[in-house]
Amino acid sequence: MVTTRDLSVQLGPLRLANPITLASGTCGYGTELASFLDLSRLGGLFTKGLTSQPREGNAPERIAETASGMINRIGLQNVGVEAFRADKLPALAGTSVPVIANIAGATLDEYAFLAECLDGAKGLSGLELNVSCPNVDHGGLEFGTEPRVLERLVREVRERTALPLVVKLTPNVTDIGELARAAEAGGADVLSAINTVTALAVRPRFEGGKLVAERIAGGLSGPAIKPVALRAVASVRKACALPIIGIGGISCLEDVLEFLAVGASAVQIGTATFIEPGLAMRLVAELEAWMAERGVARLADVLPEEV
Amino acid sequence: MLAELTRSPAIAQERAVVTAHEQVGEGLYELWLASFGLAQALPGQFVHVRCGEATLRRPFSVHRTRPDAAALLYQVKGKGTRWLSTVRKGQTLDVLGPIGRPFSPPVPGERLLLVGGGIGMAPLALYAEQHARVLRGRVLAGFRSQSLVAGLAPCLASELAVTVVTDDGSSGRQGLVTDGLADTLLAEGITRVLTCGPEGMMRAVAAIASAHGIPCEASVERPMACGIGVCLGCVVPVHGADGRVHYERACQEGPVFDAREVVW
Repeated sequence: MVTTRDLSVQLGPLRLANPITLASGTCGYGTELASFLDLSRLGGLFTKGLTSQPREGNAPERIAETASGMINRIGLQNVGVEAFRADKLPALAGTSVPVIANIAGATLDEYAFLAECLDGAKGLSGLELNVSCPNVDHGGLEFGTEPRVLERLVREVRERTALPLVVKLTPNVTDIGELARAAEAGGADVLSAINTVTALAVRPRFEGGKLVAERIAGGLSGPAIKPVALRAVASVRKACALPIIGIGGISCLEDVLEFLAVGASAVQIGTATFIEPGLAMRLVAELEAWMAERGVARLADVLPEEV
Repeated sequence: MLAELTRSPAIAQERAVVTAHEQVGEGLYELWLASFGLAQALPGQFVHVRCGEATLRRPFSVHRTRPDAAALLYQVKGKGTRWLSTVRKGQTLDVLGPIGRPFSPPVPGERLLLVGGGIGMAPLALYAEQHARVLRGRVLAGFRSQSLVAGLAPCLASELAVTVVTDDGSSGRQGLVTDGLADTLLAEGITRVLTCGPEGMMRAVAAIASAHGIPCEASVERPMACGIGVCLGCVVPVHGADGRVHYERACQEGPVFDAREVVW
């Protein structure tokens, strides 16, 4: 049966065939998942965070399971922006899925370099700024935690690319709305929220009469952070007018609907892909079925205008 | 060094029925799953299993295969395996597999030494089972104690000699699998070593094999999230061809590695 239902969503300059996309860091460069789902059926693909040079990432251990979630400290292991442009991006040429490259710099210059390097890249539909990296120029504080620093970063990148620009907000701040406005002022087209929540896993050992902590410090993801993410999306919705991509612990259609209901126009599936590699495609089908059951022809019609 | 893997069975997610599940030692269980896909597993490959409320899947080496089924041998260690041990015959499990690079198949003229530690016997037993008729050499199986001896049946049914070693001497010889290992390698003309078990044991086995110029393949275990190569959580440091240390994924480039390349 040919579908007549329109699941498309418009996020500023970015048009997606449906609101279900894959989150950066959980889908590699896309091709790794090709045997589990048809990438062309997805709304979008946010590739692994890129740096100017290839990075080996952190020494193991890199992950720890938590109640309803996991902590990771991968450390941006990636092939580097040039190999991405030369090898990884062309490998996706056969699919129609919009590819958005996540970029992660340690300095303003590195972000600028990354943006210039990817501007005009064939087959690339947008950039997503990972602003949760330690800012080397600014004493190691994350770029995304200081409104003026974030605004300047977004502006620098904005000046160097014509690509749709998504800014991925970190939840590790007092007022995410303030950061959302800063990104908007810097020229962001879309906001995505949230990145992982800083967290610590501890394995206590009793050694020499004392408790000793074996630690894994990193970012928490998975169902455990969904309520935090929903609250963040709701705050961002109140703070500014930019379209939002909701991220955080989405693992079923109900979760998708929750994010759309509080003001997200699209979502990213992250950790749940680790458990069910084909989940995103199933969610597209389930969303379509949900619309069919309610006689909804256009998804855009049911998205709330004012939240 | 490892043979190029022609990716024969494809990785698939499926719901597989548990056809048998029995305790085979202290905290040790053998669980059979009806699955034509998993039945294609090669020795060293693993299955990624959802375990109740645990967030992430748990990787288990395939221990035995039949034309329409595969068995896992596992030890109860935490929340996931504790849940798994309560699963009954007839229930279904959400499984993803078979995954990973297997041990290289035997070649004519080889004399192999399979060195297993505890639950690490699981994939070595599959090797013995699938190549029972052609294997020549020995199995060296180490356990902490007699109550933990498991997974040896396929080895005993093969042409391989089997030596059991326990830490406390409650079964077989007392000691460690590494005791006298160098002598065994020389006396029996071993041409390749396969090992799986605790990291310290594998490090020691790899060092002894390397000192005698004998190739060694080791199957490593890592905390793992996705099992399909996207999360980069399960990496192992290896010496690259360029002389630098880099990280390879236990789920894709492993779990079986050339032991000389691993940074132990």
